[in-house]
Amino acid sequence: MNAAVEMDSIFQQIVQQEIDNKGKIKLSESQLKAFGEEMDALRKSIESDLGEDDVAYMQRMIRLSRMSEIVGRLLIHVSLDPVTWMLGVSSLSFAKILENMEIGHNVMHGQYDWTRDPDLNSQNYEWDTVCDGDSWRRTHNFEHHTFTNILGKDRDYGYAVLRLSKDEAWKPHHRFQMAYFTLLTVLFQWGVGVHELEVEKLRSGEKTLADKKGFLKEFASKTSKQVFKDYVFFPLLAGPMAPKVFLGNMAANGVRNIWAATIIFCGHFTENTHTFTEEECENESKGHWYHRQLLGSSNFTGGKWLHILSGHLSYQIEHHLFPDIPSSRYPEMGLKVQEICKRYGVQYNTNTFAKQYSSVLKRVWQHSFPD
Amino acid sequence: MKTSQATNINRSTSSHLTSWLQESLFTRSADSYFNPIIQSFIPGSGLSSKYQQAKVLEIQKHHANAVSLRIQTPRGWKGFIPGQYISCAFSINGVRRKRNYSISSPIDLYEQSGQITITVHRVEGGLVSNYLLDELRLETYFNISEAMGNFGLELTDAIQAQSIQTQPLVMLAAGSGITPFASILSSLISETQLQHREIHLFYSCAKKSEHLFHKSFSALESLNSNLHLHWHSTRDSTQESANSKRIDADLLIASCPNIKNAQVFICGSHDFTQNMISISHSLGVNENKIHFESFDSNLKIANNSQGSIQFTRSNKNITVNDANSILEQAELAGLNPKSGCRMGVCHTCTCTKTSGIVINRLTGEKSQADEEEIRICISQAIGEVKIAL
Repeated sequence: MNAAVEMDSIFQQIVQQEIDNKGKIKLSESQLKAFGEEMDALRKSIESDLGEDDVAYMQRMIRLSRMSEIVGRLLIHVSLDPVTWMLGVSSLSFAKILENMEIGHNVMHGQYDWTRDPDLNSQNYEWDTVCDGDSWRRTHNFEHHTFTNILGKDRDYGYAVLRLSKDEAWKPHHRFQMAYFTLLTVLFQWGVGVHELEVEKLRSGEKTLADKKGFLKEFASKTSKQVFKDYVFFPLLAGPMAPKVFLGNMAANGVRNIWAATIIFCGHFTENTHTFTEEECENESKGHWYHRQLLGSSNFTGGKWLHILSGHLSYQIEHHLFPDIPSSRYPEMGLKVQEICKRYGVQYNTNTFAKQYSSVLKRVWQHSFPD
Repeated sequence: MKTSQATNINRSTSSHLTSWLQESLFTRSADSYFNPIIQSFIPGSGLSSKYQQAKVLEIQKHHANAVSLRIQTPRGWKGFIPGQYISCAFSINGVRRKRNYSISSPIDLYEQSGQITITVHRVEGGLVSNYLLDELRLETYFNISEAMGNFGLELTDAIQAQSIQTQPLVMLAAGSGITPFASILSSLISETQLQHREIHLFYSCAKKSEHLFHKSFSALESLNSNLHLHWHSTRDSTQESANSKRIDADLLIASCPNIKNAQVFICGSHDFTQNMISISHSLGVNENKIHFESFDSNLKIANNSQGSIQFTRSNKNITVNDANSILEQAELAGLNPKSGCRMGVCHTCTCTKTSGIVINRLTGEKSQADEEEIRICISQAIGEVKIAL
């Protein structure tokens, strides 16, 4: 225990140094303004270049996801041996991951609103998870992307159960947060689904269940549809073989949950991502906003398909700077963002997938204990 | 009575169940789910009419600035009345752009083959018309709406009109306003019941060379002694004939002395239409016998920030003379639209601008005047803007 505390304080010192060296208040107001203008210019150059290739890419992803869902469900349905069943589960998992990460999340951000295609419209889209689209648009697109990493305002920071910064007071229940973390990973879609319930505010009495009536109705409606599809309809189609389909669908949802959670934790909870206080962000300028998005997010490197399957959240920094620019443009934007950061001496947090994820585990573990 | 109520209830429960099932299995609907797959195998087809597309079969260039497209309508398309228009959605560099075009082909063509033509005039700086004239290729697929508009002349109406002999049919067209008449004339003229009805077409263009359908109209005229064509070109300085001037009251009464008993159809720009309506009134044509359709591709834009916003769903009109965003204007007008970050990031406030021009406050860019999705928190109205709120 003592050793852990000691290690923690050493670690904290390192983090503190990082903040002081490359941290929040380094840029002057005029530098921030110029920095923001460079980001605006980058955004504009990509926006004016959007065209049919971008639509064709998204349509390819949509076809791929739907075809592999159909193949996956077929294979699970007809499988008589574990190998076929596993192939089916893999294909269905792949479809769900692609749909949630690269298609749903990005379309719902408004990345394709400019196409004026009703099927690619951010406000119409509904995705294949128990999280209701409207609830997601409120909690994620608005709250998380506007108040990114502002403690007390960004409820995605630690999902109201994890303590990830020493700016948050330690409480005894944080001792078990490694277990919460694991549970949240496995049941991720449900965690995201009930996010808007704001359990912590219900518990503190700040909000009542009556306040949440509208949300609960939406949640029940979406959940019943998803449960019916994966755990009633397709299993029953297989008659006496229903359990195999039930388990297959559950496995696919589970794989998707673990993958999505792993990717998403790498976006804001890695070693050197910063948090902010409400006071720091009062009346912030556009340049300051860009700067906060940058310091609060982290990328990871990898091959083309790792990027696609992560919904390009491997480019979390670019996603937070430009949440409504088509995600497939993030790699080219990333090069420019990195170059701009270098000139301004702003931290650009990136590393391999393995290193970033292990730093997340480290951070969750270290903040389990009092400082 | 009771049984019909019962079936109504059954029907609504079953449609509710069907849509619930579709949302469950396909998150939205079966047709939107399968459409990308189906269209990659069979272009233009779809499970429902919403996704079926028309196909370009022939591109006929009249002159440098006008073209007719012969298209195959999708299965399940419900047909049209001569004079009506359709809304077309073309995908141009990834963006779906909607425009209305009048049908210019006879009803017979549609009944025989399911084909129609639309005729497009070039609009200076117009995104869609320039694309259709210069870049469109054969076999392109695009979405079309059902036929719309009250500006139509059904054969039955034309025949059933009382005392046909004494009711001439007068058509007044300017510029691209000729297109609905192309369909009306070619659909109706061959009907034997109409052979004794006096029909006049007054067709005005800036220059003689701009007149469309010269050959086909003249062919109709030579076969039907009751059809009288009057070609006008208002800006040909070389031409000194009577027909080189504008259509006016003297000219109408001289060509058609019985005009006060006529059915009058007018199509052209807003100014032309208004002018022709008042001329018809002055000649004693009854209000309910005047039919018109006008169009203006260039919406009027105010020079300063003054303008007006029409919130179409809540039926509210407001005048704008400050620099507030459309979101703020809506809230001031007592509406409660969805909103989030109020800085253009989250897209929560996205809604449809049906028409009009807005400025994007972040970039300072002016939008096009057609229908598109906008973030109202960062949009400012210039001139007349319609928002589906």
